[in-house]
Amino acid sequence: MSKTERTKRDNSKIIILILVLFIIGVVTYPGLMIISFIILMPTFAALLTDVSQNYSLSFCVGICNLASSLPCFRILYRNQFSLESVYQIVHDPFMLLFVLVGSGIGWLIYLSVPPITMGYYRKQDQSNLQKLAAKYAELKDCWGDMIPDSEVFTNLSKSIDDQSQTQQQE
Amino acid sequence: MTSLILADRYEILTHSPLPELSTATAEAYEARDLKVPESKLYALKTSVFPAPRLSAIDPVFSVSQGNPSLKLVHLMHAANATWGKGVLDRSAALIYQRPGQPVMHSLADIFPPWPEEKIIKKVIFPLYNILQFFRQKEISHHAIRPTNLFYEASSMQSDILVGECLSCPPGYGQNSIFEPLSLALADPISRGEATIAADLFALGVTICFLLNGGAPVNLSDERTIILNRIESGSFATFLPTKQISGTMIDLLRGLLVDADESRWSLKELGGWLTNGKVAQPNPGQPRKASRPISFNGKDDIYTPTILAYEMRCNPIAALEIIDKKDISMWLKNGLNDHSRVHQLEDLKAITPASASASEKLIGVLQILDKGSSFFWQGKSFTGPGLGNCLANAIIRDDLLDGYVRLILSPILSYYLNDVKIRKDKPLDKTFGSQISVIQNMMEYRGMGGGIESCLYSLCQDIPCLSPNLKSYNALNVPDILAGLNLIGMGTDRPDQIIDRHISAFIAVHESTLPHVFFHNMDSANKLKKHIAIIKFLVELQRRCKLNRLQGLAKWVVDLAIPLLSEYKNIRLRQDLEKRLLDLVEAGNLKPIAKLLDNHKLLEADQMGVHKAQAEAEYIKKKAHALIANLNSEEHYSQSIGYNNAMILSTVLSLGFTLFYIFAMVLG
Repeated sequence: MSKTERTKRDNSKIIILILVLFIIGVVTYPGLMIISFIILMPTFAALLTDVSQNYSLSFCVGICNLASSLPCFRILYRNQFSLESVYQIVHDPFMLLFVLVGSGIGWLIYLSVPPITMGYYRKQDQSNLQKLAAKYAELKDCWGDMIPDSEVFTNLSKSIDDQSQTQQQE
Repeated sequence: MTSLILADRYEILTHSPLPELSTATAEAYEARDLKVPESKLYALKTSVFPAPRLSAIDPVFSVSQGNPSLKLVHLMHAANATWGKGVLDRSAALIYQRPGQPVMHSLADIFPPWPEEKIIKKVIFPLYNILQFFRQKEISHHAIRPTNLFYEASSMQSDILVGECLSCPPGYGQNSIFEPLSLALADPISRGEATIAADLFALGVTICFLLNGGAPVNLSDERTIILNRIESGSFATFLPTKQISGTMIDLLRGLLVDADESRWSLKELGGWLTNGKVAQPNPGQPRKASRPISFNGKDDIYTPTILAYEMRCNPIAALEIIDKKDISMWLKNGLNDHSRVHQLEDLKAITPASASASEKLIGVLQILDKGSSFFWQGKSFTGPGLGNCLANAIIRDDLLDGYVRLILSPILSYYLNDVKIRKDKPLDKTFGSQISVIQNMMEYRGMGGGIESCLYSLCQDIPCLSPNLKSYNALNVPDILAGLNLIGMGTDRPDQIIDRHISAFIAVHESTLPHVFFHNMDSANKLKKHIAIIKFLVELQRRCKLNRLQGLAKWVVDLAIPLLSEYKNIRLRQDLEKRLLDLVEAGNLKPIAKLLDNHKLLEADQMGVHKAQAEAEYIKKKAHALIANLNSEEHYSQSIGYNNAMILSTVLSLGFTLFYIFAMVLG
C-alpha cells in the first residue's frame, strides 16, 4: 500500500459509530460513558491517526489502554457507575497517569516492534543472499565456465568487499 | 677418446675409423676383443636405412661360429647398439674378424692377372665351401666381388677371405656387372634377397676380373655392357682378354649364364672342382626378328629383350609405342612370336579400363623380357626388392601415390604370382598371394593400415621408420616401447606417441593384436583417441613384459592432462590430474588407462554439469527475488512486525489483567 493510499483511508465511519454508541451509552450509563470517553482518549487518538492496514496501532494502544483502565472501571463498578465516582476518578491524577502510561506502552510497542521485526527479517534475507552467493561461487569454482557469470553476485561480492574494506579502515 | 662396449667383451673404438673397410651404407671402426686382446677385429656401424640384412645375421653368425676354418670374414657379434651421439643414435653394430688388404681397392684397379691355379685354390674352393653352408642356411651372400675379397691378415700364404655381406641390403653394394641380367636392371636398393645362383654368377665375373688383372669391360659405359650382355650373353661380354685354359672357359661358360635356371649350380661347380667334369649349359641365344623395329630413333632392334631395355631407358616413348600396337605387329610378322602376341592380348583382359599407362608398361616389359625387374615410373625393382623400393620412396617422400596405385593394381600381383617368396622352395607361397593380402591392408586407411603397413609386410627387416623413432632403429615391438620410453623421458617430445608408422609396424609384427585397438585410435575425439593409444600401449607393455616404462607413462600423462578438459568438474579434473601424476612413478600404464577410461565418471560429470546449471539458475532466481524484496519500500516482514506488535500488546494486556484480577481476588 502506498503513502497516498494510507492518507486517504477514512476512519470517520468508525468514529461516527462510536459516537452513536456513546450517545446511547450516555443516555443509559452516563457515568460509564463519561469515564470511558476520558480514559479511552488515547485509543480514540490512535484510531484517528491509524493508517495501518489492520488497525494495528489502534489495537495495540486500545488493548493496553483497556488493560490500564481496569482499576478505573473497578472503582466505577463498585460505586454503581455513580457520577461521584466519576468525579473521584477524574480528580485522581495517578489513576489517569496509569491509564496514559498503559496507552503509552501500547503506542511504544506499535512503534518499536515492527521495525525490529523488519530489521531481523532483512538481516536474515541478506544472510540468505550471501549464502546463495557463496553457493553460486562454489558452483562456479567447481564447474568453471560451464556456470555463467551473474551480475547479481558480481555486484554483491563487490559491495561485500567494499564493506569489509571500509570496516577494516574504520 | 670414445669407445663402445658390446656384450661386455667387444670394444668399438669410435675415434678410430677404418675407411678402407667401410661399405656402401656402413662405417667401419677399429674394435677389440677384451677377452682375446691379440685378436684383430673391426666393427661396422650400419645405417638405419638402407637397413642391413637382419634376417641373414643369425644364419651367417651360425656359419661363422660353426666353421672357423671357412675363408670368410667371421662375424663375431651383432647387436643393436647405442652409439655415442645420444640415446636415440642407435643402429646395428656388426663385429667382424679384421682382414688384411682387399684384393682390389676399386673395380678400376689393374693388377697382374692371377694364375688359374691360384684362383681355384684361393678363391673358387673357399667360396664353394662358403656357399655350400650358405645354401644349407637358405641364404645368399650377394656381395661377392673382387673389392670384397681380402687377404687374410695373419696368413703368410696370402689366403683370401670373403668379405661381409650383412651391412647393406642384398646386392646394394654390387656393381650391376656382378648381377645376372634379371637383377642388374633393378635399382641397387630394390634387388631384394636372391639365391646362390646369383652368387655363382658373381663368382664367375669375379674370376674374370682376377684372370684379366682388372675389369674385363669398360665399366664407365654401363649401357653398352648391358646391351652386349643382352645381345651376346654375359659370358661373351666378360670373357677375359687374356689367354685362359679350356677348363676355365668351361667354368665361366657355366657360371656366366644369364638365365638362373640354366646356370651352373653348386653341384656342377663341385663336379668341376673335383674331377673337371662339366655339363655344358645351353644358354639359348635370344631369337632375332627377320626385320627390326624402330623405337625412339633406333632402327636396329631385333630382339624383344633389347626392345624392353630401350623402352626402360625411354619410358615416354615406350608409352607411345604401346598405344600404337606396333609391338604386337612386329612380334607377329617380324618374330613370328605368337606366344607373346597372345600374352599382349591377355594383358588387355587383365588390366582394367582405368589402368594407367605405367601399369600397361609393366605388363608389356614383362612380356618382352620375362623375369626381368619390374619398371614403375622410373624405378626398377624385383619382387623381393619391392619392400626396400617402397621404403626408399617413403623415406624420400617420393611418388607415394604412385606406389599405392601400383600395389592396388591387379597387374603387379598377376606377374608376381610366378615369383616364389623363397625361390629354393617351389611349394612356398608367391609374392602375388602376399600382394593380394597386402592390398586388403592398403584399403584400410586408418591406423595400422595404408601404405605403411604394406611397407612393413613386404620388408620385415626394416626398422620402424616413424619420425619419432627415426634414429632409434626400432626393430621389434619391445624396441619401439623402449624408444618411446626414452623419448618420454626427454623434454622435446612430439605431439603424438603413436603415429601411422608405429601402428603399422606393430600391426605387422604383432599380428595377433585385435583390430579394435587400431580402429579405436582413429577416433576424432581427442580424449577417446588418447585413451585408445594408452590401451594399445598397455597391451604392448603386457605382451612385452616391460613393467616399468616411466618415460612413456610421463609422456602419456602429460598428453592426457590437457585432454582432461573433457571433464567439466574442475575439482574432479584436479583430482584426476593428481592421481595421474602419482601413477607416473610406477611406470605401469594399465592403471593410467583404467583411470582415464571411466565412462561412468564421464557420464556422471556430464550429468553433474546439467544439475549444476539448473541449480545455478535456481539460485539466481532466488537471489533476484531476495534483492527485489530488500530493495522494495514495503518489506514483506512489515505486516509480520505489526502482527508481532499486536500479539505483544495483547500478551502484555492479558498478563496485566490476569495479574490485576488475581491481586483483587487475593487482596
